[in-house]
Amino acid sequence: MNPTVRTIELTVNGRRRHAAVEPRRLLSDCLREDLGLTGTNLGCEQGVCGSCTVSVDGSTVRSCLMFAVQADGSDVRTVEGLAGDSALDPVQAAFWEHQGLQCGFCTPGMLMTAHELLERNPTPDEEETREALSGNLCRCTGYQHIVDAVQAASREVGHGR
Amino acid sequence: MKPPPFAYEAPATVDEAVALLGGADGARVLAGGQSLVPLMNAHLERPSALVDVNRIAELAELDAGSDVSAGAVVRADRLARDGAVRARLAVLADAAARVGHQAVRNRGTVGGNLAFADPANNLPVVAVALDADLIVRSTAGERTIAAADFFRGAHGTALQPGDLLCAVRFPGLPEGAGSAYYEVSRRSRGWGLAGAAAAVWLAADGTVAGARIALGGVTDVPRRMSAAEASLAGAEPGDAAFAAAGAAARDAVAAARSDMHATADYRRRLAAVVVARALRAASARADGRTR
Amino acid sequence: MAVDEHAPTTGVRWIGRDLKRREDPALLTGAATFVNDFALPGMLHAAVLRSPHAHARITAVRTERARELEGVVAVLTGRELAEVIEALPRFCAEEVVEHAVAVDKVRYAGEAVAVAVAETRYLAEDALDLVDVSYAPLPPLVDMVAAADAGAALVHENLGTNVVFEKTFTHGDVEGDFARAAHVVHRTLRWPRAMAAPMEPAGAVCAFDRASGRLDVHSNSNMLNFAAWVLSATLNLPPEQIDFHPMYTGGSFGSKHLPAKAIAIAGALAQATGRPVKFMEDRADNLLANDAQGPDRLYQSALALDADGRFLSVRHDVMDDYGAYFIFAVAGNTNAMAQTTGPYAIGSCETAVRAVLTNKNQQGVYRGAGSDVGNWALERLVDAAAEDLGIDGVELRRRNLLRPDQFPHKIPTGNLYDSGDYPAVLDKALAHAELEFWRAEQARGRGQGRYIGIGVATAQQRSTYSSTEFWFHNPGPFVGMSTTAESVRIGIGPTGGVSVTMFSPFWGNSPETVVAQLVAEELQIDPETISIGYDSTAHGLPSAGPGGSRMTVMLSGAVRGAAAKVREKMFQIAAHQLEASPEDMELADGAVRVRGVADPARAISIADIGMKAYWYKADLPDGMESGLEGSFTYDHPYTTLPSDDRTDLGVFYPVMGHGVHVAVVEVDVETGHVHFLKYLAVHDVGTVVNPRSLAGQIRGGIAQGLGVTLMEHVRHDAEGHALSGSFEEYLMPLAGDVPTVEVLHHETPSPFTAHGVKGGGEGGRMIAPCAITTAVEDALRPFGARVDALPITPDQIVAWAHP
Repeated sequence: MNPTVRTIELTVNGRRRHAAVEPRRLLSDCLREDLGLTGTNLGCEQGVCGSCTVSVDGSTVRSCLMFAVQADGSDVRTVEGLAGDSALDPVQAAFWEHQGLQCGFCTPGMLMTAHELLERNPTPDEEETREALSGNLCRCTGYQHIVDAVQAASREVGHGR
Repeated sequence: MKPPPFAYEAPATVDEAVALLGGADGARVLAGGQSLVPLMNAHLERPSALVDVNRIAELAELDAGSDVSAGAVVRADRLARDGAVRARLAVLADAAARVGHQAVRNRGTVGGNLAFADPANNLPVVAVALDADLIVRSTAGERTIAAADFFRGAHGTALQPGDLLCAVRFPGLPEGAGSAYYEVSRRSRGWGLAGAAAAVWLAADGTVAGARIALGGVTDVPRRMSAAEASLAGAEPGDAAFAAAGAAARDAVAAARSDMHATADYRRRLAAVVVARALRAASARADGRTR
Repeated sequence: MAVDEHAPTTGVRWIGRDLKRREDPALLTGAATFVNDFALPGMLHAAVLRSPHAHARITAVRTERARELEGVVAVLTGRELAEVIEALPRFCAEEVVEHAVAVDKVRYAGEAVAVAVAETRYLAEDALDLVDVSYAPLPPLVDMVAAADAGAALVHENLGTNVVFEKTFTHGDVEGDFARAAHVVHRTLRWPRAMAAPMEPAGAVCAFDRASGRLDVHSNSNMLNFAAWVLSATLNLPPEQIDFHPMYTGGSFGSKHLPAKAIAIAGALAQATGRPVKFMEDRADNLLANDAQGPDRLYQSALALDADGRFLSVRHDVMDDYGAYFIFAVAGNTNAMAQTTGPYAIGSCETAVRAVLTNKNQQGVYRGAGSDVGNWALERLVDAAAEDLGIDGVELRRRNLLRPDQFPHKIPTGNLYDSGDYPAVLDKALAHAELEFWRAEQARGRGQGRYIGIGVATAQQRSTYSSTEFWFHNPGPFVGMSTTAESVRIGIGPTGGVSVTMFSPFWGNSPETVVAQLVAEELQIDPETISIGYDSTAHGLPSAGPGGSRMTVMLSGAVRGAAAKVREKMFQIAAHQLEASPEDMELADGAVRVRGVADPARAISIADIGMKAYWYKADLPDGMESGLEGSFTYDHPYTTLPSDDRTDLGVFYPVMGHGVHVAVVEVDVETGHVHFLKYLAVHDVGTVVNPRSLAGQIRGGIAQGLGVTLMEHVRHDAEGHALSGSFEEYLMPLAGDVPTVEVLHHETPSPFTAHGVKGGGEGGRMIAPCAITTAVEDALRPFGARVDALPITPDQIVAWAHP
């Protein structure tokens, strides 16, 4: 078996990207350093805090628990891909409106998790929202404004995203 | 906290995978990575090689007929949300839904949860409650291990170096049975301190015809609670019977685990609580009754 | 969704508005640059090897194999690093010496013993795996009571004792008041060691230019403008050769006041290697060794009351486990002396402080900085008194609250409370608390085996510290620092564009948003038109940075001062143009005009004034310099020095906020789980600049207060091994653990500050533990439970309910 560097190809935020990585290179570090997408943050590298959350092939993952080689051929979405052409997407706009952030460090992970929640459950109640966000640690906000933002976004976004 | 170096392959078939596992000393299986990678990041585990089984299509098959058969790489999330699994074995869907948080369930696998065998893991408790069969392959061939024999200690199973857990078959329950998983944790959907998998089916007169109860998290290895099951035979389903079964389960615990999150004494008390509450939820689902 | 109630201060346009934060778009799109996002060409990465032992001599550190690894540039022992840098800075008078990497012995599990620097963090950690350290273990001091014993092993041999500081602060006739008391309640209380653990760990990128001898620092330190001076001796560089660049900081809560080790390690390695070096704490580094653990206290406390239930005196005997070093001396204990008597009219007080060193990571300052603990101890005494005397807890509190006509109020310690209307805050809380409903629910519940509890806490939340609190515990006549300034520069350009420069960083508070609102108010312009930035310390003005809930007050004052200078110059330019008197001018709608005259011909826009100031010298009054800017250094609004005998500690935290929390909980006595049925917080922090931003801080603080009350605890085993090195071991609240909090604001303006603002960033954490403790104890009253220690764990609850 091979410990050496190999080239991977993945789609990130809709664009084809390449990276040369050792097998042990974490997806989080590949995105942040090799691909220059520093929006995703490292809060623990212990798989608990959720700051590193990105989407791989349509599902959220803790990017600190995945090796970049495992994402070869995958479709990856990060916070940088949310807004697209507009300034902010509806979930980001709701976070802004309801002040769902203070230091902003956990925010990219929260946004990715919020997106997945709303894709699967377009009208979550407060309890469902809190449960869904319980895999993302925030030390600043006490979560309430984040919950408010997600609920507001759900009303805005509705079905058929 | 960066992982140490390792060699890596991602085979496409089980045969290739077991050949790699059998061929390299210190080679480990990489499935969901939710348990292994944190340990590697902390330098607590240093496998010299990882055999990534995520691309083996055969290991991702899920069949929910009269039994539920899940390939080892079936994700916890899929198990949690599959309608047929919930209809057949709600206890399995419940337990899968409580594996960590969403991002963990998206990657975490059935096989990984069983093979890692942390005393707090949920799926081993269900496997023991339902007498599941675990199908293991190596270069020496295939064998089936009963759940009762599979779990040997904290993080200890019957798996040998070179083995690959390929699938698990959870036998179905009698017609009209209700089942449920109930867990207590320190934080919202956090690591379980104690969990119980329970199933109940009723006789024509409404009394309990049979039950399955397994308790996890309290001791190193999940256990069938036979005395608690026996206490329910012929009983009128209700809080009194469930509390008695819980007490019987608690009394059957010889030495409970103690760690920084829960003392042995507290875990022993929780044993009674989780069994009683799992039974209550299971009973409410028996005979097609709604919650 | 809770709707916050707030009635804005009258007569203002921008203050009191819920403007969306300017900081947010960059954070929401992942565009903001945190330290770990920052890189320089040729940058190396450092990693630190940590001791598994709590107390041991380092007998050998072998680094040969580590240094041979490809991609590894250097591996240094503590001894080798000590040839490049000196000991770390400290604010204590005692000779408690700390090195960034331990030299002769390690004093806590997790202390650094070697550092590697390599092309990548991965390689640096590979190198550390090859470092071989030999230890000769010493007896670990894990229990502070044992460590205080005369015969105990010593954390610092040179001190001759582990009791590094011991002093009793007596204010007023404590003995007499206790002697004449009709009732005295006693409690032994234990507050657990917690820690800030912000989502972003501390870190620094340092680049050293050998030609100029200048060190550039990009770090998430929240103190910048004197960091260079503080660290200059450590780094062996004169302060003017060190430039700190403000970075967005991912939370601090006090833990990044001075991340000296991260800066020293990166700075030393940058000097040693000649290349830029990044040292980023990872989470294990942060939880084990961040030097910002919270108070770890044992209280023997007593409250003296007269026959009418009026509080006469309060006495605390405090033993505090400070860990292995003593960076801020007993600041965590003196902080509490800003409000020892709480919101109550208490005539005397005494605090005996014993600071004990042990083999744990040292204390720093964690949100509340010790006043959170003081609040909890006092409210426990009040609850105890209510219980013993058979008086309702709310009634007993009300009976003892200071009255609105008693302000400014000097408390026995010497600090001053500037303003307050505590009965009104309590009334507001009770009007929304639904106490009758919940008491009825409680009664009903007990009949059904449900355990509901109600807790009402009334407590103080001081803001805006003076630097005197860092040294007045030392005996007089010693006098130390007395400056805690904050500066702002406002510039108006040739097109009238307003730009504001701050010299302290963003750390999750909302300085840019708040400053925009303040400047808009001063200059009567739209805040969206204001450009706001930060500048590095080489170009900076004195600014102590966020901490002690000071920024809103200090920025308000700095903005007022800078705006006044700019406004004065604009008035002079306009007056000269309009042949009027500068005293007759006013700002309105983006222009300067003669007061009360609406004629546009008698007004000049700010844009036109800017153009004149930059390019039309001939139109300026004689002798006026071109340009249009004002800088102002705002000093602490009210500081006085302590008396020589320290019976009067002086005024050091006069901008005094207050709050009432009402918590209603239901306790599952089978599992020990605490569920919230209601949580209400009424805070009075003077004039509120941005209500939603403040409510966010309050809710965040309450979550942290809930954490220490129910789950947060830094733990060690009997040998001192650290048990809290991951987020699965050190438990912090998740979204499903925290209740929806209703926040109401009350405004009693400060007489000492611009716009009457007070700081409110710490209050949530300072008051929540009181209310939640009272509520849980109330729920478990049928079992006779008494909460004397935190965290209130599920096993403790189950044990109380099943004796």
